[in-house]
Amino acid sequence: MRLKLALIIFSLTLFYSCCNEDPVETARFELAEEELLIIPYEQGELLSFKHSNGYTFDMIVEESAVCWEKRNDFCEWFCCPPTYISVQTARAKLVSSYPKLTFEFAVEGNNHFYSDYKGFNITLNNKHQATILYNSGFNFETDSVSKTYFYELMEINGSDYQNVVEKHFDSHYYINDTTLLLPKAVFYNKQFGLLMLKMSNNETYSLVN
Amino acid sequence: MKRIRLLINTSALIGILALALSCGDKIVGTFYLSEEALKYEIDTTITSFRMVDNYGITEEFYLHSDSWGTSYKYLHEWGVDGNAFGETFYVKYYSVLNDFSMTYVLMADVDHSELEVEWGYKDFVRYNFDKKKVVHGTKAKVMFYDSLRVKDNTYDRIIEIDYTDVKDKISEDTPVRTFISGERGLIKFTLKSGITFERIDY
Repeated sequence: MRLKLALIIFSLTLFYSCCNEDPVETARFELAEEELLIIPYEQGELLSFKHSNGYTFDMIVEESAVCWEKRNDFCEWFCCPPTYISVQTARAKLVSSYPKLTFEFAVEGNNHFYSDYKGFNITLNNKHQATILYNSGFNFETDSVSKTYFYELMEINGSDYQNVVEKHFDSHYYINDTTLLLPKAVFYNKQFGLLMLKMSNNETYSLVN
Repeated sequence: MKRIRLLINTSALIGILALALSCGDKIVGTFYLSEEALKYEIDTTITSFRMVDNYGITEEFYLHSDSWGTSYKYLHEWGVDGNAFGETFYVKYYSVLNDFSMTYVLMADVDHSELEVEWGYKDFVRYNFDKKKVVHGTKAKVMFYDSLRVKDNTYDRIIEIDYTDVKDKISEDTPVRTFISGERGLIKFTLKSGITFERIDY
Protein backbone atom coordinates (compact mmCIF):
# COMPACT_ATOMS: atom_id res chain seq x y z
CA MET A 1 0.00 0.00 0.00
CA ARG A 2 2.80 2.37 0.98
CA LEU A 3 4.69 1.45 -2.18
CA LYS A 4 1.64 2.28 -4.34
CA LEU A 5 1.21 5.61 -2.59
CA ALA A 6 4.89 6.43 -3.08
CA LEU A 7 4.63 5.62 -6.79
CA ILE A 8 1.59 7.85 -7.21
CA ILE A 9 3.29 10.75 -5.38
CA PHE A 10 6.45 10.23 -7.47
CA SER A 11 4.46 10.30 -10.75
CA LEU A 12 2.55 13.40 -9.70
CA THR A 13 5.79 15.14 -8.72
CA LEU A 14 7.30 14.30 -12.11
CA PHE A 15 4.22 15.57 -13.93
CA TYR A 16 4.01 18.71 -11.82
CA SER A 17 7.71 19.55 -12.16
CA CYS A 18 7.49 19.06 -15.93
CA CYS A 19 4.62 21.47 -16.42
CA ASN A 20 5.28 23.94 -13.68
CA GLU A 21 8.10 25.87 -15.30
CA ASP A 22 7.14 29.36 -16.35
CA PRO A 23 7.54 29.48 -20.13
CA VAL A 24 9.90 32.11 -21.46
CA GLU A 25 9.17 34.29 -24.47
CA THR A 26 12.14 34.15 -26.85
CA ALA A 27 10.93 36.42 -29.66
CA ARG A 28 8.15 38.79 -30.65
CA PHE A 29 6.98 39.32 -34.22
CA GLU A 30 4.96 42.48 -34.60
CA LEU A 31 2.85 43.35 -37.60
CA ALA A 32 4.13 46.23 -39.68
CA GLU A 33 1.80 49.17 -40.16
CA GLU A 34 1.31 48.16 -43.79
CA GLU A 35 0.32 44.65 -42.74
CA LEU A 36 -2.34 46.04 -40.42
CA LEU A 37 -3.93 47.63 -43.49
CA ILE A 38 -4.38 44.34 -45.37
CA ILE A 39 -7.65 43.46 -43.61
CA PRO A 40 -9.94 46.51 -43.70
CA TYR A 41 -12.91 45.19 -41.72
CA GLU A 42 -14.47 46.49 -38.52
CA GLN A 43 -16.35 44.18 -36.22
CA GLY A 44 -20.11 44.38 -36.66
CA GLU A 45 -19.87 45.87 -40.16
CA LEU A 46 -22.60 44.70 -42.54
CA LEU A 47 -21.77 44.15 -46.21
CA SER A 48 -24.11 43.42 -49.08
CA PHE A 49 -23.25 40.73 -51.62
CA LYS A 50 -25.00 39.61 -54.77
CA HIS A 51 -25.03 36.24 -56.50
CA SER A 52 -24.59 36.36 -60.28
CA ASN A 53 -28.20 35.24 -60.72
CA GLY A 54 -29.45 38.21 -58.71
CA TYR A 55 -29.92 36.99 -55.12
CA THR A 56 -28.59 39.55 -52.62
CA PHE A 57 -27.61 38.73 -49.06
CA ASP A 58 -25.76 40.26 -46.13
CA MET A 59 -22.42 39.26 -44.75
CA ILE A 60 -21.56 40.39 -41.25
CA VAL A 61 -18.06 40.95 -39.89
CA GLU A 62 -18.37 38.67 -36.85
CA GLU A 63 -14.81 39.20 -35.70
CA SER A 64 -12.07 41.65 -36.48
CA ALA A 65 -9.16 41.91 -34.10
CA VAL A 66 -5.43 42.30 -33.75
CA CYS A 67 -3.94 40.25 -30.96
CA TRP A 68 -0.80 38.55 -29.71
CA GLU A 69 -0.72 34.77 -30.02
CA LYS A 70 1.72 32.42 -28.30
CA ARG A 71 3.39 29.78 -30.44
CA ASN A 72 5.49 26.91 -29.25
CA ASP A 73 6.69 23.53 -30.39
CA PHE A 74 4.73 20.35 -30.05
CA CYS A 75 3.46 19.72 -26.51
CA GLU A 76 4.10 16.17 -25.39
CA TRP A 77 1.15 15.05 -23.30
CA PHE A 78 0.52 18.08 -21.14
CA CYS A 79 4.13 19.24 -21.16
CA CYS A 80 4.91 22.11 -23.49
CA PRO A 81 8.43 23.37 -24.21
CA PRO A 82 9.73 25.99 -21.76
CA THR A 83 10.02 28.64 -24.47
CA TYR A 84 7.57 30.26 -26.85
CA ILE A 85 7.41 33.05 -29.37
CA SER A 86 4.75 35.74 -29.64
CA VAL A 87 3.22 36.60 -32.99
CA GLN A 88 0.97 39.55 -33.55
CA THR A 89 -1.92 38.46 -35.71
CA ALA A 90 -4.73 40.31 -37.42
CA ARG A 91 -7.86 38.26 -38.00
CA ALA A 92 -11.33 38.85 -39.36
CA LYS A 93 -14.34 36.63 -39.97
CA LEU A 94 -17.05 37.36 -42.49
CA VAL A 95 -20.23 35.29 -42.22
CA SER A 96 -23.52 34.94 -44.10
CA SER A 97 -26.49 32.82 -43.07
CA TYR A 98 -27.51 31.83 -46.63
CA PRO A 99 -25.62 30.79 -48.60
CA LYS A 100 -23.65 29.54 -45.61
CA LEU A 101 -20.33 31.24 -46.24
CA THR A 102 -17.67 31.82 -43.58
CA PHE A 103 -14.56 33.65 -44.73
CA GLU A 104 -11.63 33.85 -42.35
CA PHE A 105 -8.78 36.24 -43.05
CA ALA A 106 -5.47 36.21 -41.20
CA VAL A 107 -2.14 37.96 -41.46
CA GLU A 108 0.72 37.34 -39.02
CA GLY A 109 3.78 39.25 -37.88
CA ASN A 110 7.04 38.52 -39.66
CA ASN A 111 7.35 35.01 -38.30
CA HIS A 112 9.94 32.74 -39.85
CA PHE A 113 9.52 30.20 -37.11
CA TYR A 114 7.12 28.14 -39.19
CA SER A 115 7.48 29.46 -42.72
CA ASP A 116 9.91 31.26 -44.98
CA TYR A 117 7.41 33.58 -46.62
CA LYS A 118 4.88 36.17 -45.62
CA GLY A 119 1.39 35.33 -46.59
CA PHE A 120 -2.13 36.56 -46.18
CA ASN A 121 -4.41 33.59 -45.54
CA ILE A 122 -7.99 33.31 -46.68
CA THR A 123 -10.10 30.31 -45.67
CA LEU A 124 -13.64 29.62 -46.79
CA ASN A 125 -15.87 27.34 -44.70
CA ASN A 126 -12.82 25.79 -42.98
CA LYS A 127 -12.26 23.82 -46.17
CA HIS A 128 -11.06 25.96 -49.04
CA GLN A 129 -7.75 27.72 -48.52
CA ALA A 130 -5.80 30.42 -50.36
CA THR A 131 -2.62 32.27 -49.42
CA ILE A 132 -1.69 35.52 -51.12
CA LEU A 133 2.04 36.08 -50.76
CA TYR A 134 3.39 39.58 -50.28
CA ASN A 135 6.90 40.99 -50.58
CA SER A 136 9.03 43.11 -48.26
CA GLY A 137 7.34 46.19 -49.70
CA PHE A 138 4.03 44.66 -48.58
CA ASN A 139 2.75 44.39 -52.15
CA PHE A 140 0.93 41.23 -53.15
CA GLU A 141 3.10 38.92 -55.29
CA THR A 142 1.42 37.98 -58.55
CA ASP A 143 2.39 35.08 -60.78
CA SER A 144 0.76 32.41 -62.84
CA VAL A 145 2.30 29.54 -60.85
CA SER A 146 0.43 30.43 -57.67
CA LYS A 147 -2.45 31.68 -59.82
CA THR A 148 -2.39 35.19 -58.41
CA TYR A 149 -3.26 37.97 -60.85
CA PHE A 150 -3.30 41.73 -60.50
CA TYR A 151 -5.78 44.25 -61.96
CA GLU A 152 -5.19 47.98 -61.66
CA LEU A 153 -8.89 48.62 -62.10
CA MET A 154 -11.89 46.36 -62.02
CA GLU A 155 -15.60 47.08 -62.22
CA ILE A 156 -17.87 45.00 -60.02
CA ASN A 157 -21.61 45.66 -59.75
CA GLY A 158 -21.16 49.14 -61.19
CA SER A 159 -18.37 50.19 -58.82
CA ASP A 160 -14.73 50.62 -59.72
CA TYR A 161 -12.08 49.04 -57.55
CA GLN A 162 -8.36 49.66 -57.77
CA ASN A 163 -5.42 47.31 -57.19
CA VAL A 164 -7.46 44.14 -57.19
CA VAL A 165 -5.82 40.75 -56.69
CA GLU A 166 -7.38 37.59 -58.04
CA LYS A 167 -6.20 34.54 -56.11
CA HIS A 168 -7.19 30.99 -56.94
CA PHE A 169 -7.73 28.62 -54.04
CA ASP A 170 -4.63 26.54 -53.25
CA SER A 171 -6.37 23.59 -51.63
CA HIS A 172 -9.72 22.10 -50.73
CA TYR A 173 -9.49 19.99 -47.59
CA TYR A 174 -11.27 16.61 -47.66
CA ILE A 175 -12.13 17.00 -51.34
CA ASN A 176 -10.13 15.07 -53.94
CA ASP A 177 -12.46 15.36 -56.91
CA THR A 178 -11.57 18.58 -58.70
CA THR A 179 -14.42 18.16 -61.18
CA LEU A 180 -16.86 19.14 -58.42
CA LEU A 181 -18.37 22.60 -58.26
CA LEU A 182 -15.74 24.28 -56.11
CA PRO A 183 -14.86 27.81 -55.04
CA LYS A 184 -12.31 28.83 -57.68
CA ALA A 185 -10.96 32.27 -56.80
CA VAL A 186 -11.32 35.30 -54.57
CA PHE A 187 -10.94 38.89 -55.73
CA TYR A 188 -9.61 41.19 -53.01
CA ASN A 189 -8.23 44.63 -52.43
CA LYS A 190 -6.88 46.30 -49.32
CA GLN A 191 -9.42 49.11 -49.37
CA PHE A 192 -12.64 47.07 -49.35
CA GLY A 193 -11.50 43.52 -48.57
CA LEU A 194 -13.35 40.72 -50.30
CA LEU A 195 -14.79 41.91 -53.59
CA MET A 196 -15.86 38.67 -55.20
CA LEU A 197 -15.91 34.90 -54.87
CA LYS A 198 -15.87 33.04 -58.16
CA MET A 199 -17.02 29.42 -58.41
CA SER A 200 -15.70 26.83 -60.84
CA ASN A 201 -18.93 27.08 -62.89
CA ASN A 202 -18.36 30.88 -63.13
CA GLU A 203 -21.18 31.77 -60.75
CA THR A 204 -20.06 34.68 -58.56
CA TYR A 205 -20.83 36.26 -55.20
CA SER A 206 -19.79 39.90 -55.37
CA LEU A 207 -19.77 42.99 -53.18
CA VAL A 208 -22.49 45.56 -53.73
CA ASN A 209 -21.07 48.93 -52.76
CA MET B 1 -17.28 -6.98 8.83
CA LYS B 2 -17.57 -10.61 7.62
CA ARG B 3 -21.35 -10.29 7.45
CA ILE B 4 -21.10 -7.20 5.27
CA ARG B 5 -18.69 -8.95 2.87
CA LEU B 6 -21.03 -11.97 2.68
CA LEU B 7 -23.97 -9.69 1.91
CA ILE B 8 -22.04 -7.91 -0.88
CA ASN B 9 -20.86 -11.19 -2.45
CA THR B 10 -24.34 -12.74 -2.33
CA SER B 11 -25.90 -9.63 -3.91
CA ALA B 12 -23.29 -9.64 -6.70
CA LEU B 13 -23.92 -13.33 -7.42
CA ILE B 14 -27.69 -12.81 -7.57
CA GLY B 15 -27.17 -9.82 -9.89
CA ILE B 16 -24.98 -11.78 -12.31
CA LEU B 17 -27.44 -14.71 -12.37
CA ALA B 18 -30.38 -12.36 -13.01
CA LEU B 19 -28.49 -10.71 -15.84
CA ALA B 20 -27.55 -14.04 -17.42
CA LEU B 21 -31.14 -15.33 -17.22
CA SER B 22 -32.55 -12.13 -18.70
CA CYS B 23 -30.36 -12.39 -21.82
CA GLY B 24 -32.72 -14.83 -23.56
CA ASP B 25 -31.76 -16.82 -26.67
CA LYS B 26 -28.56 -15.93 -28.40
CA ILE B 27 -29.01 -14.45 -31.89
CA VAL B 28 -27.12 -16.46 -34.47
CA GLY B 29 -27.12 -15.99 -38.23
CA THR B 30 -26.72 -13.52 -41.07
CA PHE B 31 -29.72 -11.34 -41.79
CA TYR B 32 -30.17 -9.68 -45.18
CA LEU B 33 -32.10 -6.62 -46.34
CA SER B 34 -35.70 -7.37 -47.29
CA GLU B 35 -36.81 -7.25 -50.92
CA GLU B 36 -38.70 -4.04 -50.20
CA ALA B 37 -35.66 -2.35 -48.65
CA LEU B 38 -33.46 -3.40 -51.57
CA LYS B 39 -35.67 -1.32 -53.89
CA TYR B 40 -34.17 1.75 -52.21
CA GLU B 41 -30.50 0.89 -52.54
CA ILE B 42 -29.17 4.04 -54.20
CA ASP B 43 -26.82 3.72 -57.18
CA THR B 44 -23.37 4.41 -55.70
CA THR B 45 -21.75 4.80 -59.11
CA ILE B 46 -23.31 8.30 -59.03
CA THR B 47 -20.62 9.94 -56.90
CA SER B 48 -21.78 13.56 -57.28
CA PHE B 49 -24.73 15.58 -58.52
CA ARG B 50 -25.70 19.22 -58.78
CA MET B 51 -28.78 20.92 -57.42
CA VAL B 52 -30.04 24.46 -57.86
CA ASP B 53 -32.04 26.51 -55.36
CA ASN B 54 -34.96 28.82 -56.14
CA TYR B 55 -32.55 31.79 -56.39
CA GLY B 56 -30.52 30.10 -59.10
CA ILE B 57 -27.58 29.23 -56.83
CA THR B 58 -25.93 25.95 -57.72
CA GLU B 59 -24.78 23.52 -55.06
CA GLU B 60 -23.01 20.21 -55.52
CA PHE B 61 -23.35 17.09 -53.39
CA TYR B 62 -20.74 14.36 -53.40
CA LEU B 63 -20.72 10.85 -52.08
CA HIS B 64 -18.33 10.45 -49.19
CA SER B 65 -15.86 7.64 -49.55
CA ASP B 66 -13.86 6.84 -46.47
CA SER B 67 -10.16 6.18 -46.42
CA TRP B 68 -10.58 2.55 -45.34
CA GLY B 69 -12.09 1.72 -48.71
CA THR B 70 -15.19 0.20 -47.12
CA SER B 71 -17.86 -0.66 -49.62
CA TYR B 72 -21.25 0.95 -49.24
CA LYS B 73 -22.88 -2.40 -48.50
CA TYR B 74 -21.50 -4.68 -45.85
CA LEU B 75 -22.34 -7.12 -43.07
CA HIS B 76 -22.47 -5.38 -39.72
CA GLU B 77 -21.58 -7.60 -36.79
CA TRP B 78 -23.82 -7.61 -33.72
CA GLY B 79 -21.76 -8.23 -30.61
CA VAL B 80 -18.20 -9.50 -30.76
CA ASP B 81 -18.53 -13.28 -30.95
CA GLY B 82 -18.92 -13.51 -34.72
CA ASN B 83 -22.32 -15.21 -34.49
CA ALA B 84 -24.68 -12.60 -35.90
CA PHE B 85 -24.50 -10.16 -38.79
CA GLY B 86 -26.94 -7.74 -40.36
CA GLU B 87 -26.67 -6.50 -43.93
CA THR B 88 -26.23 -2.71 -44.09
CA PHE B 89 -26.25 -0.23 -46.95
CA TYR B 90 -24.67 3.07 -45.87
CA VAL B 91 -24.06 6.23 -47.90
CA LYS B 92 -23.24 9.76 -46.86
CA TYR B 93 -23.47 12.86 -49.01
CA TYR B 94 -21.80 16.21 -48.35
CA SER B 95 -22.37 19.48 -50.14
CA VAL B 96 -19.48 21.67 -51.23
CA LEU B 97 -20.77 25.17 -50.54
CA ASN B 98 -23.30 25.09 -47.70
CA ASP B 99 -21.82 22.12 -45.86
CA PHE B 100 -25.02 20.09 -45.89
CA SER B 101 -24.61 16.44 -45.01
CA MET B 102 -27.10 13.61 -45.33
CA THR B 103 -26.65 10.03 -44.19
CA TYR B 104 -28.85 7.33 -45.71
CA VAL B 105 -28.85 3.83 -44.25
CA LEU B 106 -30.74 0.60 -44.94
CA MET B 107 -30.35 -1.92 -42.13
CA ALA B 108 -31.39 -5.55 -41.86
CA ASP B 109 -32.55 -6.84 -38.49
CA VAL B 110 -33.61 -10.38 -37.51
CA ASP B 111 -37.11 -10.17 -38.93
CA HIS B 112 -37.34 -6.79 -40.62
CA SER B 113 -35.43 -4.03 -42.42
CA GLU B 114 -35.20 -0.36 -41.57
CA LEU B 115 -34.40 2.91 -43.31
CA GLU B 116 -32.61 5.72 -41.50
CA VAL B 117 -32.04 9.23 -42.85
CA GLU B 118 -30.06 11.81 -40.91
CA TRP B 119 -29.28 15.42 -41.79
CA GLY B 120 -26.25 17.23 -40.42
CA TYR B 121 -25.61 14.88 -37.46
CA LYS B 122 -28.63 16.50 -35.82
CA ASP B 123 -31.99 15.07 -36.82
CA PHE B 124 -32.71 11.54 -37.90
CA VAL B 125 -35.71 9.39 -38.63
CA ARG B 126 -35.80 5.59 -38.66
CA TYR B 127 -38.57 3.80 -40.54
CA ASN B 128 -39.42 0.13 -40.12
CA PHE B 129 -40.43 -1.40 -43.48
CA ASP B 130 -42.23 -4.27 -41.75
CA LYS B 131 -44.28 -2.21 -39.30
CA LYS B 132 -44.62 0.54 -41.93
CA LYS B 133 -44.01 3.27 -39.39
CA VAL B 134 -41.35 5.49 -37.86
CA VAL B 135 -39.75 3.70 -34.90
CA HIS B 136 -36.97 6.07 -33.84
CA GLY B 137 -35.87 9.68 -34.15
CA THR B 138 -37.94 12.77 -34.72
CA LYS B 139 -41.41 11.70 -35.80
CA ALA B 140 -41.46 12.71 -39.43
CA LYS B 141 -43.98 11.37 -41.92
CA VAL B 142 -42.30 8.90 -44.27
CA MET B 143 -44.10 8.32 -47.55
CA PHE B 144 -43.33 6.32 -50.67
CA TYR B 145 -44.26 7.13 -54.28
CA ASP B 146 -43.63 5.42 -57.59
CA SER B 147 -42.17 8.49 -59.28
CA LEU B 148 -41.60 12.24 -59.08
CA ARG B 149 -40.71 14.80 -61.74
CA VAL B 150 -37.97 17.28 -60.80
CA LYS B 151 -36.46 19.78 -63.27
CA ASP B 152 -37.63 17.89 -66.38
CA ASN B 153 -36.41 14.53 -65.12
CA THR B 154 -38.58 11.72 -63.79
CA TYR B 155 -37.20 9.79 -60.86
CA ASP B 156 -38.51 6.45 -59.60
CA ARG B 157 -38.92 4.81 -56.19
CA ILE B 158 -39.43 8.00 -54.22
CA ILE B 159 -39.17 8.37 -50.46
CA GLU B 160 -40.51 11.58 -48.94
CA ILE B 161 -39.54 12.59 -45.41
CA ASP B 162 -41.82 15.30 -44.12
CA TYR B 163 -41.08 17.10 -40.85
CA THR B 164 -43.82 19.75 -41.39
CA ASP B 165 -45.80 18.73 -38.27
CA VAL B 166 -42.68 18.74 -36.08
CA LYS B 167 -40.93 21.67 -37.74
CA ASP B 168 -40.13 23.34 -34.42
CA LYS B 169 -38.24 20.25 -33.25
CA ILE B 170 -35.70 20.13 -36.07
CA SER B 171 -32.59 22.23 -36.64
CA GLU B 172 -32.32 25.00 -39.23
CA ASP B 173 -30.08 22.78 -41.37
CA THR B 174 -32.54 19.89 -41.53
CA PRO B 175 -34.91 20.17 -44.47
CA VAL B 176 -38.61 20.24 -43.65
CA ARG B 177 -39.24 18.05 -46.71
CA THR B 178 -36.75 15.72 -48.36
CA PHE B 179 -37.31 13.68 -51.51
CA ILE B 180 -34.97 10.80 -52.25
CA SER B 181 -35.04 8.54 -55.26
CA GLY B 182 -34.30 4.95 -54.26
CA GLU B 183 -32.43 4.71 -57.57
CA ARG B 184 -30.59 8.02 -57.94
CA GLY B 185 -30.34 9.50 -54.43
CA LEU B 186 -31.33 12.94 -53.15
CA ILE B 187 -33.46 14.83 -55.67
CA LYS B 188 -35.20 17.66 -53.81
CA PHE B 189 -35.41 19.28 -50.39
CA THR B 190 -36.91 22.37 -48.77
CA LEU B 191 -35.42 24.19 -45.80
CA LYS B 192 -37.37 25.93 -43.03
CA SER B 193 -36.63 29.24 -44.75
CA GLY B 194 -38.54 28.06 -47.82
CA ILE B 195 -35.41 27.68 -49.93
CA THR B 196 -35.86 24.64 -52.15
CA PHE B 197 -33.08 22.73 -53.87
CA GLU B 198 -33.83 20.65 -56.94
CA ARG B 199 -31.49 18.28 -58.70
CA ILE B 200 -30.36 19.33 -62.16
CA ASP B 201 -28.05 16.38 -62.97
CA TYR B 202 -30.05 13.22 -63.62
